[in-house]
Amino acid sequence: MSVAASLPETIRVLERGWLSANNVVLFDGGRATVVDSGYVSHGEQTVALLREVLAGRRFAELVNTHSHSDHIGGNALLQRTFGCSISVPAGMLPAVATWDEDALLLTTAAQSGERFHADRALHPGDTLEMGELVWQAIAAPGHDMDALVFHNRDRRILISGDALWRDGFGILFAEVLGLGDGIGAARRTLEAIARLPVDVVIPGHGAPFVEFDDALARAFARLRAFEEDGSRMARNAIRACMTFSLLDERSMAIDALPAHLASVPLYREANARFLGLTPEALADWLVGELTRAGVARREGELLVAA
Amino acid sequence: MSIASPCINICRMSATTGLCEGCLRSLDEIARWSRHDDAEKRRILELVAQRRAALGVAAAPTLASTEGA
Repeated sequence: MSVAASLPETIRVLERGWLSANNVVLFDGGRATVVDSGYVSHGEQTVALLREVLAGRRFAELVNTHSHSDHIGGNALLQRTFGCSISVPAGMLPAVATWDEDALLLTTAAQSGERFHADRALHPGDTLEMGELVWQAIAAPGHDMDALVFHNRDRRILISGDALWRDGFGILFAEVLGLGDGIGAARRTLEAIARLPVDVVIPGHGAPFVEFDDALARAFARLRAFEEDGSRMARNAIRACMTFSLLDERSMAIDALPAHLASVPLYREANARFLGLTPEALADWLVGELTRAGVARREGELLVAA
Repeated sequence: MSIASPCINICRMSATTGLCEGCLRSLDEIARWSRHDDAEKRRILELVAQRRAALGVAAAPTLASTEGA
């Protein structure tokens, strides 16, 4: 039996990929709440998948774990299609209200999104009723300084967003960009999560898993490695973010890469603060990394998503 | 480790085949994926391989590196 099949019947996890975060659907009778909406370009499939699992039940509320494009990209379309209200972590409300594409990391990481209206702010300590269970919102800064995770004490379930995965956690943007103590915040978040009673984790990406202690140990080890060697964190961030862009655009001209790496703030700052490479050297390293990892292949002058 | 999903992040349903253009699964197969046991996941992967052959679509490797977005 899969881990997801051991979850209560009131919870359905739509396991997506890397460009779209997972959608978690929680049923209270004829009413449904959905956690996170995927990437903007996958919106139509997200709608179709939700219609499939809703089976006529009403999609009343959308909740976001944090403000990144792979979690909020479907918000506007879901709002238009289903008329759901949208609740977001309080810290991201101003950026959503003014649609600040820098604060939402859209321009910062060369990603796309669609403006939506947020109806309600969620604060750490708030309780939510979803899937006939009571969840507590818990602050989870690090990957996103305003992120929340949701914990149910009775069934010992954690909806972790990108604060904790089976193998790691999301890019520590504030740390990489020099805007805040991302490593310290991530450590305090992991310590707080580690104190919770948890049997099953529903992560933002990847399958639900039960190896909670193992995942925490890996995450702490990765944090230590990043603390000891900032260049490793920077390289991870650049590689992960370019993988994301390549999955989105499917191909890129290799000779345009140095200028791209020099102009997009995430790459520019990661390189300037931790690596000190010329854009050309950074591009060479990146093409080598992505092709070796099987993420991309060279086709003449193009780098193509594998 | 559980069996990896065949998602390759081209998440668009084809009006002609009724399958995702990326992973060649039906809506139902994608929606239920996380609840299936390993035997059922293998059965779907086998179906996907047969569809690829029938549609003449080259197999795409799944993303190996997942250091994350």
